[in-house]
Amino acid sequence: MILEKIPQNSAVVVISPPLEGKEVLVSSSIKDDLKEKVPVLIISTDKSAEDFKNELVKEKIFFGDAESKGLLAFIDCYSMHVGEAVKNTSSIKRVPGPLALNEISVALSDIEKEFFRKSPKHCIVFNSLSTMLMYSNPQAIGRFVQVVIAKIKKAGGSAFFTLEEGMHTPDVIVMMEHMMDYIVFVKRENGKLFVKAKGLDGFEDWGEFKA
Amino acid sequence: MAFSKEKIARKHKLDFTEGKKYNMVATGVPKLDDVLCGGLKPQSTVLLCSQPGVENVEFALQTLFNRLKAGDHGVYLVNNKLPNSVKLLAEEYGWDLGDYQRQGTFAFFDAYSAMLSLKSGTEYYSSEPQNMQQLSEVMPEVLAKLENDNIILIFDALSTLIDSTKNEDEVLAGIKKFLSEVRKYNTISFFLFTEWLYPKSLTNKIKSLFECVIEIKALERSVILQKYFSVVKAPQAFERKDIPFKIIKPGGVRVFIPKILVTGPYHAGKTSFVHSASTKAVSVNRLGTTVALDHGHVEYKGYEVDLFGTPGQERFDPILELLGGESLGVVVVIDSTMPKDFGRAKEMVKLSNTVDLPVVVVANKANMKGALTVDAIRKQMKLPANVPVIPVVAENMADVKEGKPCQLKSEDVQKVFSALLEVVV
Ligand SMILES: Nc1nc2c(ncn2[C@@H]2O[C@H](COP(=O)(O)OP(=O)(O)O)[C@@H](O)[C@H]2O)c(=O)[nH]1
Ligand SMILES: [Mg+2]
Repeated sequence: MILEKIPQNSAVVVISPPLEGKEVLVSSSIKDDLKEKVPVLIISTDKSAEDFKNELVKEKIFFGDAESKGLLAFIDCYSMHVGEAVKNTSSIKRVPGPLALNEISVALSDIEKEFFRKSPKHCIVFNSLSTMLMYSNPQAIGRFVQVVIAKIKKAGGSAFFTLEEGMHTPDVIVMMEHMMDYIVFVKRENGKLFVKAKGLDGFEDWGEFKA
Repeated sequence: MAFSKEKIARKHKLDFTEGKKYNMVATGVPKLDDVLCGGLKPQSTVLLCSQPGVENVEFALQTLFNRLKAGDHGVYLVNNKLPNSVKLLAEEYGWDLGDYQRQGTFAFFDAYSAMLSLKSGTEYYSSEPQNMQQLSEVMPEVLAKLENDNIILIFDALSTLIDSTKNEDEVLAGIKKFLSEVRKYNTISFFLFTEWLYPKSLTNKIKSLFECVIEIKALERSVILQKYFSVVKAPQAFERKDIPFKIIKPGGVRVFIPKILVTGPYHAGKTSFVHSASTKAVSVNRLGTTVALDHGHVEYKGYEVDLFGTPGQERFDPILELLGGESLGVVVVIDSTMPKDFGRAKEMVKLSNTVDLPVVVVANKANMKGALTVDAIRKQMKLPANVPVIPVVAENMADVKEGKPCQLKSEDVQKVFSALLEVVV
């Protein structure tokens, strides 16, 4: 299985056309981590934390008491951005929007500090880089991602970024790929999901993905 | 810790009459006004420069609110979030901007909506927020309406502006123009800037545009251990000093003295260490052993640090928890002649490591008969390579008395602090 082959403490970008399967791959990784009590932080830029949770449940990922135990946390970059009057909860930190990079980095540092005390490893899911790229220029997001990856790795974590295929110019994709250890491509064909991964032995060619 | 202006002035030969002369504007951020000899100079330009992962908005908001409360006027330009989200954040700290908005002494300037091609819901906004030349023309109109002896202008954020444009030189020229335009209206400008990995030359150019630069940084190991701020540039005399802070909701920026925990088995020399290291120290002793925390205070290379010595028998993890965000490191004192007690010390090293606190082992009584060598101690305790072991001896063997803490050799004690703080400072 592809996810198990990705070494700890790496930065991965998962690329697919919108709604063409990277969500399945990412959810599957979240599920594996939570099962092993590895803390997971989801940074959501295009939907609220609540909507993200609902979708996990739809994917039949039940996280039980992970949230109350501090093993599942969210940084919600969406709700305040669309003007919703929402508050922080014990597991959800709201930041004002995808352009508030400083606030995102502060929230990330705070949560990683908590995770670090609980477990030697953790996972950060960043969904999605594409939203970020809509609002700032690619160089700026490049600098941000570089800082974020360094921070996550230093704290012992792994990072999963998602990127929409077809939304960005090739040079932007190339720049993002340069910062990552592995690039995972996902596609859907005849109702089946296929994956391949650049840089990962044995997965360089398309193969079917089963969750 | 007395941070009195007079004391600082004497120590650094600063001229506080200068502060009086200019009628400094207090920020209300604790200790910041002290190191600035009273506060910000009227009409000055300030860059709040933060490392990623560390707050900066709170410093600006706290200053803004304090100035509004003191009767000044203010405007908050924001280009990276909705003005209302700034207002909501301020409320969480207990700073209600709404009243001042209604009185007309405070206003938001919306430079965000246009970034997203949305219509602004506020009175003051820019249709071209990336264009500093245009902002330099629009902002004076706002300031003219807000007219006052002192206006605080927050610019949140300069990094967002730079991130959204391609021509950096144009932005720099625009900022220069903007700063000179707004100061005509008795404005103190506060620019927020996060140091993403910009080229050093660009950050230097930016810093040179401002009269006052305040850096907000973090001591980082695997995760952020502690945050501190320091003034690195000011138009008036100032004290260069790292000030540790925490951000509390409600409340805002709070300053504290970092703590070092001194722990170890019974009779190893913890009390001796705390007393020998401190300029002043107190202990609660009964029947020759410490029954409550030893408490001392050290100054090391401009850092002020509180020392806490544990009695030694108690559980260690709740103490670590207690000192939580305020501790800078752990000193584990062992008696080099007592390997039977190493087990517990080893446990303490391990716990400190799991919460990412720097830890140093003090191999005390190193010159006594039967004392193990540093290497032997390393091996016995299976210490990871990142944990230094420093041998320490009594200053004067003739003064060592049973049941009484003794003076430890000051060179050795100094070595312990350098080893501990080297990793973080
Ligand atoms: N010879 C010698 N005796 C020491 C040294 N450090 C402490 N002692 C003695 O060891 C005993 C215990 O020291 P104390 O600081 O009270 O230990 P604590 O129980 O860990 O606080 C006292 O009698 C001290 O005088 C040292 O470096 N050499
Ligand atoms: Mg004692």
